[in-house]
Amino acid sequence: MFDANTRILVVDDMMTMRKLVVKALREIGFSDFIEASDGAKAWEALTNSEVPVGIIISDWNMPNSTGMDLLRRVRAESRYKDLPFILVTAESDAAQVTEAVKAGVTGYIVKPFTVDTLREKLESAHKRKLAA
Amino acid sequence: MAYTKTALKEQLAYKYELPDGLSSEDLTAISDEALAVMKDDKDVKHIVLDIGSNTLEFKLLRPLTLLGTQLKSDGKKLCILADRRSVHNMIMAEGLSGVIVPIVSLNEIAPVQNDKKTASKIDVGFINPFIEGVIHVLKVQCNLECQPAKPFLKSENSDLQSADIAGVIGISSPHFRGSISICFSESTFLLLISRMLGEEFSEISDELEDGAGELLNMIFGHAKRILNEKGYAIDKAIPTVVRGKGVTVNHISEQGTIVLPFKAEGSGFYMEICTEQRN
Repeated sequence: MFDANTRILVVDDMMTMRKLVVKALREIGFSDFIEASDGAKAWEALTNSEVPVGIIISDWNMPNSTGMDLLRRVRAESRYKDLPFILVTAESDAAQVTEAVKAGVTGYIVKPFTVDTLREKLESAHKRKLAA
Repeated sequence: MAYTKTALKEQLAYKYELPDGLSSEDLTAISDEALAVMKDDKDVKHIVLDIGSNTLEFKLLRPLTLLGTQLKSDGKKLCILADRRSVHNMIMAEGLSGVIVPIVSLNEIAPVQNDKKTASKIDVGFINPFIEGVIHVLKVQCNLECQPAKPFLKSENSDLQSADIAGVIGISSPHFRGSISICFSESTFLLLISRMLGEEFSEISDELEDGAGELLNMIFGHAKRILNEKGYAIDKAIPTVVRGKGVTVNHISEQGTIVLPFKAEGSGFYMEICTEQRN
């Protein structure tokens, strides 16, 4: 599993969802979070963070700049090519999953989700990072 | 090859009970018969092929697709009534659920969208995924068991509980458009959101109000996934929230608004679904 001190960037336009994700992450054992309400603000937070961000957990469907926009922007930078990126969405049709995989997503969580599901996704993302 | 054909007047359908070990040729013969029936009986909207607990051989997908495509082009629908989940999965994995609609019950047969008469009724196949979505989302995200009550069509005399906050989302597909809302009293919303975030809240702050939209977003996502597997082709949407004492959501449609009432730990709330066909 990722080190408990890993800084996690949580991106969602809904404040309650950010609270929900942070609450779940705290239960898993993490404590260092930064939050953003859309893809553009998340990019700013990512590139300006003094402590390097170790994981991004982002909503897909946001106004202005979506989670996919952010994912593509992140993967376009070589320094972030292996940065674990988990997309959270209330929808999960096959075309959407394919689009996310092609763009380089590390994991995919369908809302509603439990703490155990988030933990499993993070463990899986950690294994992928070690294998990269 | 022997099969049984039954007219289902309520569903405007003909049901064919198919034997196990059906060949492609057998299915083609049944298809020809079904197409002839549809030609003679213009009111029929669905052909249901009932395979019960039998499996469906992969080679049968081709004649099924041909039949489903022909029916769809005539504004009709082909349904496969199958007990086995593997049959449903195979059809969906092949991307054929738009022309061969897998169902487990005749209650799931949705009315054809271009039929104003049937679309104005309470369509169980359409609303059930929303009811399931409410139950699933509240159980997983709020650790709450909730019970649905009987759906009804909204009227001026409907006795709806006063709401203080509502999530609203537009629903749109190539065939229809409309809106969906979920309406809570302050106490019910605070119960749900407190359970969801694991802390007690005594008032709806600006920070918390988007929770109504997020709950609806999750419910909509659950229902959309199921309905799109049946060929509804519902688009993505972003919810909004309205808040105020005694808030009501006015859905605009000649076909009426369906109200889905629920209870969770003694607190009531309700969902409203309103759709109308596109011209």
